[in-house]
Amino acid sequence: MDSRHAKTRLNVEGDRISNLPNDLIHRILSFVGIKLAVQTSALSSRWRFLWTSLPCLNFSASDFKTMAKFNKCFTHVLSRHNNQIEVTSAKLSFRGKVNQGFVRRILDYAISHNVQQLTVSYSYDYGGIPFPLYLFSSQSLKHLTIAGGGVSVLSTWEDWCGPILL
Amino acid sequence: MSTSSSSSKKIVLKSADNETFEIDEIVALESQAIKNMIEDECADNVIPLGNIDSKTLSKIIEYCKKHAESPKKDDNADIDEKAVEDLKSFDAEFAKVDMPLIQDILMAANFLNIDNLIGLMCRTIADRIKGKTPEEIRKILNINKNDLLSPEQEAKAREENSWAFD
Repeated sequence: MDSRHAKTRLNVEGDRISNLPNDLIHRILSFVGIKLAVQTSALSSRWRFLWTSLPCLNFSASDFKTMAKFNKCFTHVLSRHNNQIEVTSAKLSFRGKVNQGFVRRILDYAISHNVQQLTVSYSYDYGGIPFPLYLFSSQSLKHLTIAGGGVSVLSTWEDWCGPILL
Repeated sequence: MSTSSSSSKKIVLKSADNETFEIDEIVALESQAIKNMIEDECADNVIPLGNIDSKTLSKIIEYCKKHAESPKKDDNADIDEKAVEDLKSFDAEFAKVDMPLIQDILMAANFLNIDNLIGLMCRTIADRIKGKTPEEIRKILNINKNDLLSPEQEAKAREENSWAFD
């Protein structure tokens, strides 16, 4: 039913999604994960560099076959992301062992781009994340969620962020 | 906060194809744009919505009615779980429409500034393109054929972001 109707409309209607303002397309892309968001660069000229100004960066290791590939994505995205754009929300989720510098890189990038919402979730067998002290004195950060996977604890450290909290 | 009282104030919306819809003010207030108009007292008699057709507008009214009737989270701390579930399943059913209509609703919701509905439509579009190739996404979203990248440009986009296309 849906598809028949869609066909008749598609014939007469143009490409409406590409006419949406960037912030709406970014909102759509914020739900798909960074890998697919970057793939949209091949869709058309309109979409070619849209992902580089994404204000929500969502890195999930489950999108990748190996941690090496995940790491490559990470390096690439952070180096190509538009440096002028504020990062409103950053999420990082992974399982297993990672290089500590890896976590530190997203934290540094997010904090230096005025992140408001930061979520890090990881499997419980990962020893410890080196959360730098400046995280807790950030003027922009409103929500910090740190979640250990498996049976481990979930800690929400919003109270750390002081007077700007909701 | 009764929404069905016959004595409540009514608002009349007029679609691009000149159909009028009389709704309770509380339903219209789901739209931040209409709320602002009412507060600024520039919403006399009929509000013309010259860029929203009647099919889209009636869907939007259906959504606003349901959401206006449902208890808001901040109204009551121990909100009825059943009401939350009910609203969730309403949203899921509401989003089962074809892509052109989803895009029309999204654009109209953006114009009317109905944030929950914008979010629902963005998530719906995201769910439909997840796990799809750029070729499939072009079809699903009806991307403008005149805006496609040249084969050389597309190859460059893929090469620049090769990790995302593995």
